[in-house]
Amino acid sequence: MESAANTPLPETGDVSQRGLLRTVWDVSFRIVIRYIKNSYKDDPFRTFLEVCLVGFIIWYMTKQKYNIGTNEVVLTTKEIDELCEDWKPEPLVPELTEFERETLDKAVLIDGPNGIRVKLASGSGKQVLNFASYNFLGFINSPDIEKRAQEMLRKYGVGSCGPPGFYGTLDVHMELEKQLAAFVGHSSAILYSQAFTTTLSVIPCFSKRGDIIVADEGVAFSLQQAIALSRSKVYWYKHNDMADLERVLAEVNAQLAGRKSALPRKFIITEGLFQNTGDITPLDALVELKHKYKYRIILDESLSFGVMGKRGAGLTDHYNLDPHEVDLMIGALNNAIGASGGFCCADKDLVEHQRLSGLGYCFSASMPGILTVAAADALHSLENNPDDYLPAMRENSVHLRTLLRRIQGLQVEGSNESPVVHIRLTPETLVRMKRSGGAWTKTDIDRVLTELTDEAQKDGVLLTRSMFVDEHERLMPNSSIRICVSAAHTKKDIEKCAHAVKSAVSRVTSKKR
Amino acid sequence: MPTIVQRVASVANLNEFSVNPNSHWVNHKGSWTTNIVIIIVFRFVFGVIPWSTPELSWTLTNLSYCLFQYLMFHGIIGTPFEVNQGEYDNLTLWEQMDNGEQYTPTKKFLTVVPIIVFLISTHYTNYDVPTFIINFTALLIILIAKLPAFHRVRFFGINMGQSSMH
Repeated sequence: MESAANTPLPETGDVSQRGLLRTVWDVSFRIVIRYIKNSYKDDPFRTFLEVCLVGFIIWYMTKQKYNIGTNEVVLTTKEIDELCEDWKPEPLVPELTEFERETLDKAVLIDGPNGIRVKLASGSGKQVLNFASYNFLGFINSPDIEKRAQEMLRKYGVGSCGPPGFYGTLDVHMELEKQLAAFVGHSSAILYSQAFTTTLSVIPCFSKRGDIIVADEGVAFSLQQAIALSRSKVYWYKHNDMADLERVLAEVNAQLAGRKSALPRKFIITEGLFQNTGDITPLDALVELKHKYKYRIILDESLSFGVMGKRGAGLTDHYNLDPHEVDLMIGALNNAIGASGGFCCADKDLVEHQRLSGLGYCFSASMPGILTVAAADALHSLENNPDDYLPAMRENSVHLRTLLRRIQGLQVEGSNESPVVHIRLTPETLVRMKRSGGAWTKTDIDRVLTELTDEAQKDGVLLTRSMFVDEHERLMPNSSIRICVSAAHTKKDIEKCAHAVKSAVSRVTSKKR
Repeated sequence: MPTIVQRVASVANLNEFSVNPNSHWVNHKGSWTTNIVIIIVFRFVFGVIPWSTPELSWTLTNLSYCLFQYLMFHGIIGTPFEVNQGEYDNLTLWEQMDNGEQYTPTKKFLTVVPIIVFLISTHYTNYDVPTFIINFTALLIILIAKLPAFHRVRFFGINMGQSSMH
C-alpha cells in the first residue's frame, strides 16, 4: 500500500530508498511469518526445541576461547607490594649445617694412585688399608693394565670428543661391546660412557608414560632417579620380599584385565647386589614370577657384574640361569672392572633401539679409548683366570663377616658371598650409649659412625660411612659403615680390618656422652 | 590499576609449540569443506534410493553424519603413533584438538554443523514424533559429548583408558 503511494514521487531519492527498505522488510517479515506458520505444525514443543537449538548456536558462537585447567589469579597492587616485601632471596648455595661442615672437613684425601694401600694426604701422610673403594677384584692398580693403558694413550689420546653417533665410536668400543655380550652370554651389548647415567638412560628409553614399573623399595639412588624420569606408573614392593612382589604383580594385572586400551609395557626393576644393604636378589624366584605374570625384568648389576657367579658374569651366572631371562641387564665397568662407564646387555632389537633413543648414548661423548682398553683388559683377565680373583674375594668376604659377627654390639648386613658389608651399631648398644636417655636422631648416629671410621683410620684402616643425598632418597636407608672387600686383600689385611673395627667399636661405645 | 595475571601452567600451555599430528588436520579449511561435502553426498545417496521419502532420506543423512562425528571425534581414544610419550593415549580426538582449548573456530564449526543439518531437515520434512525423537537424540548425544563441561569426563565406562586406573 505504502510503496504504491510512494511511486508518484520518484525525484526524491531519499524517500524512495526508505520505501524500498520498507518493502524489503515487509516482504521478509511476511516470509518469516509464513515460514514459522508453515513449520509450526501444531506442535509448540517441537518449535520450542528448535528455538533452543538456535539459542544454543548463538550462545556457543559468542563464547571466547579458553583453556580448561588454567587458573588465573589476579592480584591487586597492594597484594603485589606485600608479596615483594615478604620476599627474602635465598642464597644461591644454602648455608651448611654444623654436621655437613664437619663431614666436609673430614673428607679423605688420597695422595697418589688409588688402590689397596693408599697414602693419606691429610695428617701424617701414613699408609692405610683401603676398604672404602669398590675395588672388588683389585684391578685398580694392576700394573699390566696400567702399562697397556699408557700405550693406548699414545694411540687414541685422552678423549673421544663426540657422541657415539657422531664420530665418537672407536674400534675398541665395538670390540668391547662384543666382548661384553659374549662374556655375559646375551645377544648384544651397548656401551655407555658413564655408569650412573646408564640406568638413567636405559629405563626411560623403554618405560614411558602410561607404562608400569614394579620396583624394589631398596634400590639405589640412580635407579630411583631413573624410575622417576620414566614418568611411568610405579608400584613398590618390600625389599627382596618375593611374596609381596607377587601380591603387587597380581594386583596390577587384575587392574589391567578388561581394559580396552592397548596393554602397557610392564617391568620389574631391581638390583642384583644391593648397594645400600649388600643383599642379593633371588633371581630364580623373580624369573618364575616374570613368566607367571608376563613382565620384563630390568636388572641393575652395577655391583654384581664381575662379582657374582662362577665366572663373575653376574647374577644369572650365580643362579645358573639363561642370561636371556633378564630382558635388560645393566652393568657398570667402574666398580669391579676398575675402568669407567656402563653397559646394557639385551636382545639385538632392544640394543639397536637404545642406539637411536637412549639419551645417554645419543647425547653424551663416548668413553675415552684408554678406559675402554683398560676395561677390555680387565675383563680379559677375569674371563681367562676367574679363579685368580673370585675365590679369594669370596673367602675374604666370608672371613670378614665371620670376624665382624663376633664383635659385641655390631650388626652385620648382607648376603654371605657379597663383598659389600654394611655394619651398624645395634639398637641396644645405641640405647646403652646414651646415658641421658632421649632418642637418637639420624645426625647423632651418623656422628657416632664418623667417630668409628676416624678411630679405624688411626689403626691404619680406611673405612667410609655410606652417604646419601637425604632429601632425594625415597626411603632413607639406615645409616651404616660400608666396607668393600677386595680379592687383593690378604688374610692378614682382613684380620687387621676386623681388629680395627673391634677396637674402634669398644672405644666409641665406652665413651661418656 | 595495573594487574598481574599469574598463570598456572597446564598441559596445553606447555605444549603450545608442539603439534599433535593426530588432531592437527582438523583445523585445515579442507577438512571443513569435507564435512559439508560428506553431508551433501549422504543426502544425495539416500535421496536416490527408490521409494524413499524425504523424511527417510533426511533421517538417514542426519544419523549417518552424527555417527560419523561420534566415531571420528568421540569414539576412538589415543593416537595411532606415539606423541610426547603417550600424552594423548587416553583422550578422544575432540579432547586432543587444539591442545584441549575450548570454543576454538574448528570446535565451533563442528558443533554448529550438525545442528544446522538437523534444523534444515526439520524444515524440509514433516517428521512424525518417533522420527523426530530419533533425530533429536542422535544430535543431543554428539552435542553433549562436545560440551566443555564434559572435557575428559567419562561415564558408563565409555573410553576408559588407563588414567582412571588406580
